[in-house]
Amino acid sequence: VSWTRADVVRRWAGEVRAAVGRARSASESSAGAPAQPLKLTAHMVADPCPARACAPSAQEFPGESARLAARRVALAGLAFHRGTPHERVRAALHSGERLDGSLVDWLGGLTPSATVAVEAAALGWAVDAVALGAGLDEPVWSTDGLRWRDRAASLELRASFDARRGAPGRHRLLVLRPRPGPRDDEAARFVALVYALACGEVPERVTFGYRGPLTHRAFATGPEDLAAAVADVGRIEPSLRGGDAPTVAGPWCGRCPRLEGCPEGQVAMSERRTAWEAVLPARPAGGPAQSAVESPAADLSSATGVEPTM
Amino acid sequence: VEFARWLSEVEVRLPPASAGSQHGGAAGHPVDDVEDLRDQLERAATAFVGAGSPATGPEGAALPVVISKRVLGLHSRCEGAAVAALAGESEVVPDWPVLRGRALDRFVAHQIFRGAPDEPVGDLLAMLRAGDESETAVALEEALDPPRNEELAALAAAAGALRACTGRAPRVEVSVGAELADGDVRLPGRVDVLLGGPGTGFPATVVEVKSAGSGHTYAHAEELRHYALLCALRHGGPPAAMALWYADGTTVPLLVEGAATAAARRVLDVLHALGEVRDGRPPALQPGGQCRWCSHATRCPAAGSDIGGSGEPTALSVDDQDLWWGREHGEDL
Repeated sequence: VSWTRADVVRRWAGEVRAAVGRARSASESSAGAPAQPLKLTAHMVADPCPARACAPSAQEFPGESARLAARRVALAGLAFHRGTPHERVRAALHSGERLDGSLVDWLGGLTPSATVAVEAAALGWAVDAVALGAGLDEPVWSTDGLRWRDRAASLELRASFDARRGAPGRHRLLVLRPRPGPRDDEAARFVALVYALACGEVPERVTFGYRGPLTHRAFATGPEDLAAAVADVGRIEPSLRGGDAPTVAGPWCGRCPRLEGCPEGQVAMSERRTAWEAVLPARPAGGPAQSAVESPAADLSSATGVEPTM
Repeated sequence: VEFARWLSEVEVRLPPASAGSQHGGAAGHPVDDVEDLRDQLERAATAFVGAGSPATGPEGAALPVVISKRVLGLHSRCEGAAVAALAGESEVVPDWPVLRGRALDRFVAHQIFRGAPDEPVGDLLAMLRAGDESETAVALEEALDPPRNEELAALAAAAGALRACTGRAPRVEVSVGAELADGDVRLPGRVDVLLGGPGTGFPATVVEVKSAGSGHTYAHAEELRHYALLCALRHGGPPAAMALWYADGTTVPLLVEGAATAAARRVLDVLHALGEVRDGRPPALQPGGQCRWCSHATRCPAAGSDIGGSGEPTALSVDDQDLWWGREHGEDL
């Protein structure tokens, strides 16, 4: 069977509408299509904590910064300029070409010294991208986001990828991430779904490149994977729209911007603290401190020649 | 050794970029077997968490054990302090040594990418604000006075030595952390200056910038060897060269050969020891300067009299720069 682009879009759009419709029917809190479109991203779908996923992004990202600008500047350099990563980043930063308006405005307000912070961050991103994108054929770097909107369902799906390889019909996508995440498979299949909806083509493969360890992980994008992505959308959409998304605490709480006001997260974090503190001996209340405890580590300390720091 | 001279000598020794080698020992020297090290670390980490994760979240997911360079450094001084550091929640105060260290890192970036700053203090604050370090900028402004302004100007000038990195594919503050046992054990790290490496076509050279005096070279050398291990795991081979650079102008080159192996052995020893502690062996306690920064010190039966004391910056207090940086950048260091 030969699928046209329109066929691909029609098929998966139908699946998404049906899944969302079923989920809304089962949800008591909503009837019919809500007025405000819900924007779903790969980060939201794959976030292990739905409550964090539906937090306003402005809360986590209060404004432009070197960290947020790094990817966009680096990608503009890789996509539209030639030379070494250093030359490409510098060209993108100083020409301002193909950068979005808000970023150009922010960059324009920086002093030359402040721009160094952006250049350094973007350069780190670009070099890692080149290292992760290295292979038999040069990847096509992309600054375009993926977006599919369904007015009837009042739903918008958004995703992004950083590079593409292969001929049309056999595209393989590269997505850069800081480090492996616990639900990357869900994020990857969501990217594949949005790519199919936005481009009319199911990518042959989605690969995540992790900047921290500089490793890859490839994810399958078969029909069953996209069907699972559709199910993810149907599962998460009602709770995100209803604002009653549950909090799921875990290792991810450590750097969550909502931790301060999240009792569940604080309990999760205190688990680690109390677990390790439980193995530490404590002197009786009011008791005096003792002298050094004879121990293998004390011997090790002197044996390895660690110099005193005081 | 003068930094520029060391770097030019390193360049002569390294294979040309066209050789395709992006890492690893000079010709004729043994190269650390990175895959063997990775395998040993992976097995040790898997055994460590597999024997019962020290802490789990409400969903039963293991909370990652972060073996930072601080934990490693503390473990060689006091096992209890290392365990207390594992418990997390380290209180880091952006005192002057911490701020001074952050300032030097920023000046190095300025010198490499843009040359000497015209107005060191003003340029530094602008860089911090643009670079997600607003808390550091606020703390710095509050701490400044005329003598410290002069100190910062001197640091900015000293950092000019690192301009020799320009043109050698430099990057600053590069995260090189490794994850073991499916992320349940983390070895975080951040290299101050990384020249070359994958994605550049040049062999990797690691430079660790130190604002403290060169009197703590032993501890700093252990740090640098740890970075050599992390780079080796990340890049598939150890760096081709590495050195400590001190703001007093001293450059201390370190041997690359065997460094990753030595650092891996230290991590393996610590993982093994922490596993024993987790399984019930009382942690070995050793009072000392580390008590000043230990969160358990007020309850520790062996804590020394240094709790809450003050003194000259030490290797430990300088580690606080990384902790502070990690806090502002959302990374465990």
